[in-house]
Amino acid sequence: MAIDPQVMEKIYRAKEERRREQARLPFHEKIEILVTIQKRADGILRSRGRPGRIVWKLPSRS
Amino acid sequence: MEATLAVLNDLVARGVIEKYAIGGAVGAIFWVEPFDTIDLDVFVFLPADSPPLDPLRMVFADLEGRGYSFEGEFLLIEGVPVQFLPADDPRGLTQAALEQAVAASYLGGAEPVPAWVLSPEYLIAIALDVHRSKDYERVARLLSEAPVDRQLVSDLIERFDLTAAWAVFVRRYPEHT
Repeated sequence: MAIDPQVMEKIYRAKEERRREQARLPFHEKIEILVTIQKRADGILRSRGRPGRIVWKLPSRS
Repeated sequence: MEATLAVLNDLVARGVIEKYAIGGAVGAIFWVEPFDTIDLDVFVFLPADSPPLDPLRMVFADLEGRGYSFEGEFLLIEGVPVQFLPADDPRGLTQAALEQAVAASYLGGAEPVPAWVLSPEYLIAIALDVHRSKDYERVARLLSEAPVDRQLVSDLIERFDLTAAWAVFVRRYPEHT
């Protein structure tokens, strides 16, 4: 099945815009996202029986 | 993270280091969409009386004396693995980067914590200088997402002899020419 180039272009533009939105987030929100990424990667490694990886320990928010 | 930055600021206040700025992946994250990394790279100016063959010795001694310890190659400061990098490369790229670092504010806690972050142009220059695959990818991210002064990037490429690395980058990412 051929994919409509206009649809692909729309998807590509939406991804670009999301990246730019994320780039505009405050620094502390980006660090919270980074730690979420680290936790997910750690979970995937451990679920495969491999050693975990470093996950930053940030103070929990009340 | 705010506690880690507070420790770095305290090192400056007590004269253990003269200045610092966040570089590496976290420096890039300040400017672009967040992505995965392990450590916090911190470029530092050290006092003139630092031991030349072991320039970070006083920094490590100070932090270890306060209860922080190494985890592998990183010093774990308030839950964040930190890599200290003296800004003393022979060509002066990291010195210039640290001199031109941008003042930032980290708002994660009750009070904003001041911090210094390398500018996107210098992060690009340092990434070109290191020129691993992930560094070229970082250059591409910074050029597409950060507010980059392209003329300054060109000037830094020329000033710090990064033309060959830039040529490799352009071959890999022709959309950024």
